[in-house]
Amino acid sequence: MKVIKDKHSRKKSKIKVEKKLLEMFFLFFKIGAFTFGGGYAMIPLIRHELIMRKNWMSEDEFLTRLVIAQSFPGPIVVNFSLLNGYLFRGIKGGLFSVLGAILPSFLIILTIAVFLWHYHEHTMVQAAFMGIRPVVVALIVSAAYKLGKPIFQQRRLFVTFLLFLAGLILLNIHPAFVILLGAILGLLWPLKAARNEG
Amino acid sequence: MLGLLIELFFSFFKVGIFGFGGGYAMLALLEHEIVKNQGWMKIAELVDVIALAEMTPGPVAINSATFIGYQVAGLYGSVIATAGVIFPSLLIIMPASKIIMQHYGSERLNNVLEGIRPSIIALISLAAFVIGQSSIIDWKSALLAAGCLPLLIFTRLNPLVLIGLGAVAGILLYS
Repeated sequence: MKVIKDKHSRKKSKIKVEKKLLEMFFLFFKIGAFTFGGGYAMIPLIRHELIMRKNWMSEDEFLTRLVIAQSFPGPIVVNFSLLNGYLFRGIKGGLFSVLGAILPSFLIILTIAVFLWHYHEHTMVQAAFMGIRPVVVALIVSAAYKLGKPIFQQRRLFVTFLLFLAGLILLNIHPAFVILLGAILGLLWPLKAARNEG
Repeated sequence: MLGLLIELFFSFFKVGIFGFGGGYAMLALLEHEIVKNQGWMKIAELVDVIALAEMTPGPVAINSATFIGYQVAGLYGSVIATAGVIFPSLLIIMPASKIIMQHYGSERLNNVLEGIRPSIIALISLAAFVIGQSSIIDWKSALLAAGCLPLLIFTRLNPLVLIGLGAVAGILLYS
């Protein structure tokens, strides 16, 4: 229903299309430019921009689309901007939105790669990075801990996790294989059924 | 050159299409493709790129794709690698968005998503393990990591602050 509604509004306001596309581009550009530290950090900013300022969607729609963006593979910001852009203005809308979302990262990183990265070999910079690397490790461990907490509390999920990790480290299996295996396991032996049996 | 660009595209396409569960889960894929399979970078370099991706705005996957693409094949490389990461999303999200909106919340989809949760945590743990091996090289770096961990888990301290402190500590301890 939502999709159909969006389509109608698209027909109605055809004159505004060009402006709206640019508006979407700049909105996601802003989101892309100010979100440090991955997808979850951007949620408050997106809410503010999309719901409070532009009034482009309701709180419910926002949450549904956010969960969908998180459920599919690929960066959350990319999925979220694509989904919204497409639902607002079709393929063009999707492309304008996703370009807006990734362009800030692309430009900033390219600037660093072209102009600054040769300082990386400098002794002082190398020393700084030797101090930064352990912080990155701590960041990743804390992410595993925070996201894994609910899983560590359920025996079956915890055992699956341990088996997967052992396979990855000891047998060197491809990470993609672990994703596929998890999906198949979830499909064939859903947790709910397991809960009922146990 | 063309062959290299095609390889870049598909390596990052793989990272994108199996990249469930956000940036940290993608690191294991990234390491497997870039360091192990293709040998485009050493693991220590990749860790620095990840640190850089943390310090700059935008998704870690996009930041690292742009950077690694540039290192491997210049400007074209950065464009192709970035395109490779977002291409799976383009293929899935837009054509399927109507079906997604209808089937969202269906039992089967939920079962699949539930099923890959242990996989995602295993991938993040693998990334921590592999990156830890190359980054924690002596007692000083071990102490740094151990000191940061409780701050990250129990406080709402901005990780950027810790990265900044890590840089200062590195200069004091290692130069």
